[in-house]
Amino acid sequence: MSMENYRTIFRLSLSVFVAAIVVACGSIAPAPPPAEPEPTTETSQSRPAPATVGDQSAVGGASRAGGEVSGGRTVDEITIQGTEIWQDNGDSSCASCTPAAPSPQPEGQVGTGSVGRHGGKLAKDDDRVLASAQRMLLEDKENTEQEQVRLGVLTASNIPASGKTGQDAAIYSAPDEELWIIAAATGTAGEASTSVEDDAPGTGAMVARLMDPSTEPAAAPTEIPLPLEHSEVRAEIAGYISTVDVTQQFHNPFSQKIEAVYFFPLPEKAAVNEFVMTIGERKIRGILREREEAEKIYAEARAQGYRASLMTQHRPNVFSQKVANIEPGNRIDVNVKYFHTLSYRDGWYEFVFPTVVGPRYNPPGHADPIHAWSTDSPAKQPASGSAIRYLRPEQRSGHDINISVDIDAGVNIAQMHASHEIVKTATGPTSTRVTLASQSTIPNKDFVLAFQVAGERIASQMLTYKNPDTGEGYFTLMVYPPAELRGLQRQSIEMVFVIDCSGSMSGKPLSQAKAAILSGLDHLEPGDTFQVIRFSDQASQFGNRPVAANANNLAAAKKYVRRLGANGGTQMIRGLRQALDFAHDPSRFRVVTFLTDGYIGNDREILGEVRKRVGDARIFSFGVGSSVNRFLLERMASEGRGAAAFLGLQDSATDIMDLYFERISHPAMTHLQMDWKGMQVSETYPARLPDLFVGRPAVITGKYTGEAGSVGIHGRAGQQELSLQVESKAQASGSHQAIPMVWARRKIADLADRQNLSENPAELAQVIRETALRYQLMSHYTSFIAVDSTYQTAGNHGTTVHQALPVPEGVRYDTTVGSP
Amino acid sequence: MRRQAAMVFLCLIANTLAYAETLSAPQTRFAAVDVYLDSGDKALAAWQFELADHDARIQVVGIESGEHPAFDEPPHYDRDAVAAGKADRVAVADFSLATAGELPKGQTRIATVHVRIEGDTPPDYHIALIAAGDTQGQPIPAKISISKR
Amino acid sequence: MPEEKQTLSDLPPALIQGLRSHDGATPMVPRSVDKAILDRAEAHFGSRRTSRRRWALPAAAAAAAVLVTVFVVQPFEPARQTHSIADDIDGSGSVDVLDAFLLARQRVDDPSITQARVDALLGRIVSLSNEEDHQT
Repeated sequence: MSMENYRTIFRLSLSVFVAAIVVACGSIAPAPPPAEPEPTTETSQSRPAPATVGDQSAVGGASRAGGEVSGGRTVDEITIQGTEIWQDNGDSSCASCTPAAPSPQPEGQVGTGSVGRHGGKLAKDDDRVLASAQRMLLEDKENTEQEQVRLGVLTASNIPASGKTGQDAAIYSAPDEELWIIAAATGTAGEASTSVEDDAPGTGAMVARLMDPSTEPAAAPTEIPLPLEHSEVRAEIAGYISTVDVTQQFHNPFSQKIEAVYFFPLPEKAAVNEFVMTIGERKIRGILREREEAEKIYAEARAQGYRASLMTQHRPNVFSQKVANIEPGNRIDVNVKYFHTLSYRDGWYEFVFPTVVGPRYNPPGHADPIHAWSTDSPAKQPASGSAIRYLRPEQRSGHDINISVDIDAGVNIAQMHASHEIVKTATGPTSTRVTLASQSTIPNKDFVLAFQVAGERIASQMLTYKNPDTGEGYFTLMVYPPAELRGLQRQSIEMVFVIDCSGSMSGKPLSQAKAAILSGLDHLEPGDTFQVIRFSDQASQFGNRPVAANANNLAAAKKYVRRLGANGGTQMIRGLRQALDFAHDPSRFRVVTFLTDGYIGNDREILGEVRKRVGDARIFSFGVGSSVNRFLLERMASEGRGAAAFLGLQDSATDIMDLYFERISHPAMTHLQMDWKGMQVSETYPARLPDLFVGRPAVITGKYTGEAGSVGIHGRAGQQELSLQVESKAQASGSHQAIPMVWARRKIADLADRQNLSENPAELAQVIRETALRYQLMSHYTSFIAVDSTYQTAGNHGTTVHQALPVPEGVRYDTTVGSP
Repeated sequence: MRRQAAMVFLCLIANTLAYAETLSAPQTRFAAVDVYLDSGDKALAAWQFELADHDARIQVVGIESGEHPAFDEPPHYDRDAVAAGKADRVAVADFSLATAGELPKGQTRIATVHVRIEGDTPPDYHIALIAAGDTQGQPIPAKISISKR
Repeated sequence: MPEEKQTLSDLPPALIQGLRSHDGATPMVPRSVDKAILDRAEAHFGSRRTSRRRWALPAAAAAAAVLVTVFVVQPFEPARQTHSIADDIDGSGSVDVLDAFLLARQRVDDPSITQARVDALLGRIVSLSNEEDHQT
């Protein structure tokens, strides 16, 4: 082509390009109006007025008595505001100083961690401690005599001139800066307060402090109440299937409209299939759509000012609720309903309602993290993944929870206990209603209700449901191990203890885990071998290889375990690999005992690794803490053909270990094979039949056609062949309506697990989507949406308020949320 | 040469049109369709209707209960169709086991269907009453109507 | 008698050389011969093309009409489920909400009728794929 031709083409292209730009400019929608400023509200705390030093009146002022502020920076006694007293313990060496949080806090951010009494030392490097005191004073509503610390405030300008030397001036960074001083209460003089942990449930409407992103970092943070007022939980248990109704009440206490965002847990086996939004007397049933579609609808409704709610799944046990355009003073309730199967352990049925999501550790580069987001952080959400806001330990939200459970066990209930104080009311010969004793319970601990039914032997049972239209049948089979297993002796084991030593385990959880291992070591027999592996950022182990369980080795191992401390992130994958990758001793049965709280963001990656590496080993996972990641622990055990157990902070580690070793001291019934007889069975989950351990049933669900009658189960225990027969129970009970959904939920869980190892995860995602839509279940790819299109609220979509959660009981804020 | 220039020009036009189309995607809005049933002097215990949009531009985003306490729970609807995004129609039904004195008579709002609409043109709604019954389960004559918000 | 294959070596050398010399050579067809062949082909096949052209449009129109009839005027319906007679509680000949209502009423006196059964019937009643089969 000639140059002239090139010029022609160029001119044509340019013309078209310009035309395209003109068309595009004409079609671009106007930019949305700028967001309205953060609502300002009244604070729930009244900050004490700055003291006036020199005024020794009882009402106000600070006075100094006794010693003086000198070059040695010793402060004796200062009365501030007539209430706070700084007392000198005469120790100028700061030996009584209690270390504050180990990590320095960024400038402008208050610190966390232990606050103790200081022997009069005020130094620049006490900034962290002083900052903690500042925070405590701002947050504490009442300073009572029972408290271990009292706080006061002293402005630099109020320090007596005589005491304000050049060095004193160096203590205070700015003339008008407020300075917080810690003082010990007179009643507990001599005892240093080392912790500000408050385990007791609080009351009242505390607020969460959210930084106003439009102000300078040094500006005072804005305090706003939290929108979630109350959660009402009503559960009905029939057999081993429970139907649970959860209502979340959102209220807008501000002068402007808001969007409420709330992350909450549900049991990982929960099949969520109902969603109703209630505004006043009006109830709007939501619809289930593909997740992207539902999010799009919600975004549009929100932008246009309509009240809408969206429920999304982030993990199998972590969900979020968003409610848009809640007008000032208004309330919107969201009700969800789900089915799930109870777990059965060692003679006890267990109903769990999780109440709080523990702060997760997300390994670097993890694709879909769940961040732990402090209420001190600026109100801007992290760029990727989901983020859950956490209250500081001394903060409380106004959210309380009420739980009631109606149990129809079908037989007498012999015993019952719960994680909270409960009230039991018999409603029939075999039925009981259980409610929380206190209506104002703070939900920072999972609700666990365990009950034991009468009768020595629990029979295996199968529940069925048949669709009258299609003839499609669904079953759930609970298989209990045969009694003969108890009489058989186990083979030698190669025990591998794996203990989580990350920051979230700091304190009581680690103590419990260590106690469990120490007890476990005592249960080993002479022919056994063992190994102890600890992990946090890295993994390390007791010995180069498993060692014989003799007296010397056990003593050395106990010493090793006692010295373990908690610090750092949760690189669980390193611990897992170290536990499973070394050569297996074929003459011994490898048992991996995993002790962790499961607070990680890469659950799926971990489960994928378990599936890849477990081989002939068995994994038993122990959840240690008050609100552990049950989804991860149950799935690890399931993939590892073992079992999960839970060690609460108040439980006896010795008792739990006794039960555990009782279970593994008898061989499992392995190599299970089913004889379905008259049933044509398909799509059973788990696809690989689990081993049967003493005290632990296996639950199998599947589809069938034909007639449901009895089924046979054959397997081996060591060298012995065993068989069971299970009869089908054709109950006419409403609970069987749940069986297809329970099956669908298991199918979705299985597909999701397989995604980790699949080369084509998108294909499995499509199957999950279709299954979830067909059975009307929430999943990672389907969400519930409800829009009230009768009324369009004025203005833009308002301010987004993230419901801050309490850190689970026993978990240290400073090593999880507060740590960088 | 002219042929080549024309091909380039057409390609550019096609790209421009495609781009313009994405920018001028139909606007969406939300609306509510109140469904009323007039059962005259008979107590209304059960009802069933079908709401359709012959232009198939609506998506159901919520089904609301009626105004009378006897029908204060959200009614039943075809979940599969709604979940699958079938946008042309929805079937809704409900009943109450309350006594005649506790049931509505005359005109009452039995449900509200909340919809999302694509485009500016109003949907072409059609409402059809499938069944209405009294406390004995006997069919009763009733008039159905809708009101758009 | 078995066929005798004649090999190249059996041919006269002169012929072989002549054939080889034409190998690879571009065949030259005189223009007049080329035109004559094209005219002949045109004369033979042109009538067929004309006749095809004559029928092409009506055939396309007929096909379009069929497609319009099948896909537009008569939309494709998914396979319908038929209601069982057991669903027609009131024996009216159609299955609708009144049947679910009566079943729910019966359940008050007959515990063997489960809520699940009532809900399942309601689900079938509102299912659009059953809409045409309210007549049993």
